[in-house]
Amino acid sequence: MTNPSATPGPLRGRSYLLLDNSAWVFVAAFMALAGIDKLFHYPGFVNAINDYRILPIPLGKYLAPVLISLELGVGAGLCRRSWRRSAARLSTLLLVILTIAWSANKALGARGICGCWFSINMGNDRVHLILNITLIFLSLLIWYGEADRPLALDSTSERVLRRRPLD
Amino acid sequence: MKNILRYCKAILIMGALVLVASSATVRTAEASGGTQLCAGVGTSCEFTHNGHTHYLKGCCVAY
Repeated sequence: MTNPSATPGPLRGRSYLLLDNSAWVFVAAFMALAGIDKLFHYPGFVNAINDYRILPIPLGKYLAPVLISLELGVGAGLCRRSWRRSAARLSTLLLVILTIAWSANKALGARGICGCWFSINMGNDRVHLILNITLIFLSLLIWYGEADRPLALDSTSERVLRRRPLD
Repeated sequence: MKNILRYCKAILIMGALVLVASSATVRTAEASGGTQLCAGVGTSCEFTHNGHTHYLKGCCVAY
């Protein structure tokens, strides 16, 4: 593993650390806040899902807890190093599905709200769409960036390796 | 390559922050009575009280 501060280039030390970690912190905070916001406005979220025309029957009461759990799960998963890659993949998948569902709903002429946020307005639909696409790319970058980052040994693994050293 | 990815991350985060900061507003229009777009019109989102139609909190956005 190379020492970031020893690598030549304009970015060194703390800048590396900041840039490497800012993406997952941002997406984790965004997902967690979105999930918490929906918990506070649960009936509204169920109704927003029921309003989606792409759903053949109102599935709000079934989909709402699943989606909230997934968002909170992604937020928590991104915070743990060993889960980060899977959480980033799940985040990408979730955002792609939600963006397609919402766009298809709008294309079908539905006038209901997206159901993404309740405490704040996310501007107009175009801005919201661009933000979702930005978050999709960020999640992909987190997933890609974590691929070649070796996991640091946690205290349990270190104890096991100390007792039984590898040949 | 790694630096390019780092710069991409930084640009995307800044872009997302700008989008949120420029467009997100705290939802107060429900109380002030602006033009609203409500989810579940005709469903349980909508209820009538004292002859007036109201919407369940969180069902509407101002636009």
